[in-house]
Amino acid sequence: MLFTGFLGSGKTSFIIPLAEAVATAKRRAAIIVNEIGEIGIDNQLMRQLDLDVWELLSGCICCTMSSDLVITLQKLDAGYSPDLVIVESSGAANPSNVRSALPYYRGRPLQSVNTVSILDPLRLQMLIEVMTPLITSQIQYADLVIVNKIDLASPDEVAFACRTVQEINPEARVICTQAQQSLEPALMSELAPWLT
Amino acid sequence: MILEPYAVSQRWRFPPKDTNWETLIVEYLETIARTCVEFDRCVIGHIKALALFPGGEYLQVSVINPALPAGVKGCVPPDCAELRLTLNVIVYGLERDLVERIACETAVQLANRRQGEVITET
Repeated sequence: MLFTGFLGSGKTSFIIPLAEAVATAKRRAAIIVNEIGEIGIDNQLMRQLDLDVWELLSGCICCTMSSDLVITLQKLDAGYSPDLVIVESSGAANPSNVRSALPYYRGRPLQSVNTVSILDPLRLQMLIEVMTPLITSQIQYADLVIVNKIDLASPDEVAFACRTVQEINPEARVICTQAQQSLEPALMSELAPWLT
Repeated sequence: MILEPYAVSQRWRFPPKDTNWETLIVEYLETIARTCVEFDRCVIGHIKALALFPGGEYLQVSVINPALPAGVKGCVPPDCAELRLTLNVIVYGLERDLVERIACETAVQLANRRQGEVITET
């Protein structure tokens, strides 16, 4: 499961409760965290929370580190055998480029690959004006779009986010919510129906 | 737009009874964000900081827009006198050297004002 979305949109805040729910169900979730900085933060936090994390730092898995992603997936397949692999892409990643690396993976076949895009309605209008290709790609290639931070955003901002998704990717399923300590049932059944 | 992320580890030391760590780190990150946006053609990506503690506690502070309140998760254990902080400043449009200077100068000013100390680790 590939999580995408601009920097600060809230990817980690959904990944942590998802991975915890998988662990609670006695299944194995492996998290691959990609951060463009030299010292990661999300990977340290996840490790502090006893989650199983592999980090890819100082680059982006949609370009300079795409082969590192494939190698990490193969190592996971050989040595960890996860039920679910969660890839947290950097906020600067184009998910289409990330997914185009997956055919080079040579481990056991992946049962499915889903792309989840997290949108921050508070900044979407500004970001789509100044970073059109990146933000568009993060919506365009998503199977599921989570419009996050609805507790902080105005109704107009949430409506704009939903309209934008509808225009760019009418096939995508959309859930409007806010990150919480545990995932709400509707979101859980979207992200991990095999757990519900 | 250029994207040159800045990441660093810092050690902050303050007299334990005088320090509200959450307030301090929030002020630090919000000041960095405000200073960055004074430059033209700059978009804040994410300014975030994390401190971990041996008992499993953590403090995470996150700023994406100086006009919005910082996000704070976790807490600092009581009587904490020293905190090791990982800082990531990801800002589009500013060169890394400039971001580094902003982050370092802001940290030193904040520490001096509160009679504390900050050491940037290389």
